[in-house]
Amino acid sequence: MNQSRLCLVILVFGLLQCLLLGLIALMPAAENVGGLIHPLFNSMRVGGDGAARFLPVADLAYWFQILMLGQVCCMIALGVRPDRRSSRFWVQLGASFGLLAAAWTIMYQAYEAFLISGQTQMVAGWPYPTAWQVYAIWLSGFGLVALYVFGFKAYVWSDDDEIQFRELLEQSKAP
Amino acid sequence: MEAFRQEIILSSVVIYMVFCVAVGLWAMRRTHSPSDFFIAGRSLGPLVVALAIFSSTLSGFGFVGGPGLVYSQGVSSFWMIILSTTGYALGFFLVAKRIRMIAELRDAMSLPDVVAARYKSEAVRFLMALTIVLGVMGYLATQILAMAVVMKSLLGGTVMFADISLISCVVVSSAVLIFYCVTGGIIASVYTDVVQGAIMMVAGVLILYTATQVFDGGFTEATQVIMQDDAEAVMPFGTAGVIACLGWAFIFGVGVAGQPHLVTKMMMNRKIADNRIVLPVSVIGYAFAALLWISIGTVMRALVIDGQAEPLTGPDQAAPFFLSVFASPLLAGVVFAGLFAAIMSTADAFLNVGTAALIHDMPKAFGATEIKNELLKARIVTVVLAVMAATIALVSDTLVALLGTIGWATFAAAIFPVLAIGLNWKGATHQGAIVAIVSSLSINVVFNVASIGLPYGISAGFLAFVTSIVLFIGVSFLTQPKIDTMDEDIHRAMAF
Repeated sequence: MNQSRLCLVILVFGLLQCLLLGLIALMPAAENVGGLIHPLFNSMRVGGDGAARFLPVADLAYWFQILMLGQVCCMIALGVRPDRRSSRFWVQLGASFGLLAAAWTIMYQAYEAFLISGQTQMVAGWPYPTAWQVYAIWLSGFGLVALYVFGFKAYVWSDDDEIQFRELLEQSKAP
Repeated sequence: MEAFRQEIILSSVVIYMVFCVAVGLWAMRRTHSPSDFFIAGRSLGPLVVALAIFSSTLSGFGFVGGPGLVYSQGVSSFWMIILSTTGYALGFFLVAKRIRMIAELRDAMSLPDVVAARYKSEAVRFLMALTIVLGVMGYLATQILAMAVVMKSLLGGTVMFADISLISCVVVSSAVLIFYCVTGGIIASVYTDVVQGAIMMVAGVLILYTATQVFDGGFTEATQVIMQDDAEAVMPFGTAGVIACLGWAFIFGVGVAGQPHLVTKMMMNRKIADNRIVLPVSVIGYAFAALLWISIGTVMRALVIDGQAEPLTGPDQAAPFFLSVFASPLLAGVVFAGLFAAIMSTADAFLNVGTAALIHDMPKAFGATEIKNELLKARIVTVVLAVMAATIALVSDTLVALLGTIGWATFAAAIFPVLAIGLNWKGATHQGAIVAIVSSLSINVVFNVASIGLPYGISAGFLAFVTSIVLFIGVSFLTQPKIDTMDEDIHRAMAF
């Protein structure tokens, strides 16, 4: 896939994000959509009835984030030379996207389950959905860091690139 | 030791400031040219660049505003942090290699230099410089004000300086900042950043440990206390709600690669191959430092709800209160030094990119081919810029707030597509770049000045960022030139 086609995909993702934001803006908003002042402490806010404000936009918000993660992965592909985007690269990038999307999806489903049942367990200091947010979503980004670090010479900057760049510098600085 | 708490904290801060002055004097001997002053002569090692990048990211906001947001809104602001790993990786894939190549090919000293070379457009250079100057004034004013407020609260606890004014604190803190930035330029800035970054990492880990000891049941008990009061506060989207959180995730995650004070540092490393080390060190350093943001805010909210602490007068009191009550004097000293470090590392980075925009880019955008006495002018403008920002901070709350709106989100919206996508896509045009920058500035300023609210907490910055990416690519597709006008060296650099 050449750079222009990748940019077209990023554009389509962006347009879909605009569409989703537009649909969200048209949804009737619950009173506590952005939280309410805490009844006892002025410097705090409370969320109140989570289901009332979350469930109407739950699907739209979920897909917005999936589009964002897809957009990020397309942009990462854009940063790699087209002839270096081997099958191996696409598999590794796909796996990184899978990690990001899986962490987001499990966190989201756990939160929806909590809103319906009102029950959750504590995991490593946090309620189960928040534990997925704090640990899994944060750590899932390391898939992309690993792709950069371990694939550096194959996808980003090889020894041959260094030599060719030195040649380019010499040519461009020559009188 | 407890009896000398105030003295220990003040000593830590004073030692840190003396260190900054010493580094300024040392760096002055290594600063011989504008290139040394603005981009450290492209001579920095990977560890220095990595620590400088992450410490510039986490400003005083991370140490004071961040814990305050968690105290006030619960888990919501975690979304400003947790996509940082993804955002840094994106920034390195898209920007780190190409910006360094163009910097060396064209002897570029600033971000506007790079985009002017890429798009062959002085209009793009001017708009980029204008965005940077506007954003820098806002950021600098808020950083200087934050520094002065913290200093006043520290000195106010002593007998000798109990009545010290805010103006005096602004003068003292700005003087240290100006001194090392003027004498040592970016070299002083990045080497102080190294120590600043180390302090921030240590402070983050120690504070997390301290926070887990406050309740007998550890962190679990703290979150359970919050949950019994309002479950939403410790659920993934906190009290602010899902859409506001997605906006923060987008702006603070993807937008990392649009921050001028960060990406400029990607021009400074000695070798492009060093980026392989810079990325993981930056990401891990940031994660350690951000632990302070998460832990203090959560524990302080639980303490107030549980009745173990008086309600705070404002969210920004969360970190100072926690440190004054729960941290040992030595740890409080380290963290307060870390707080000054965080503020200064961001302020010095902004001072540097702002000076470059004013002294180097604006004249070039208006046709200047050579800038005489650039190093001297740079030093003078650094002083002028800092004094202006300090004055704005003291004189006008409204102006600080207005300029503050042109902060992270505007940088992300205006700079990310033009730089990160534009350096990797030969089809990007200067018309696309101009539309992206103008639209993001317009949306942010108009929505914030007119106080236009959007449903579901959709922020102006969020809207501007999504829109600018679409407009940049869309307009570029519509304005493709029939003949390739890109310079040969840039053309070849973009093929790597």
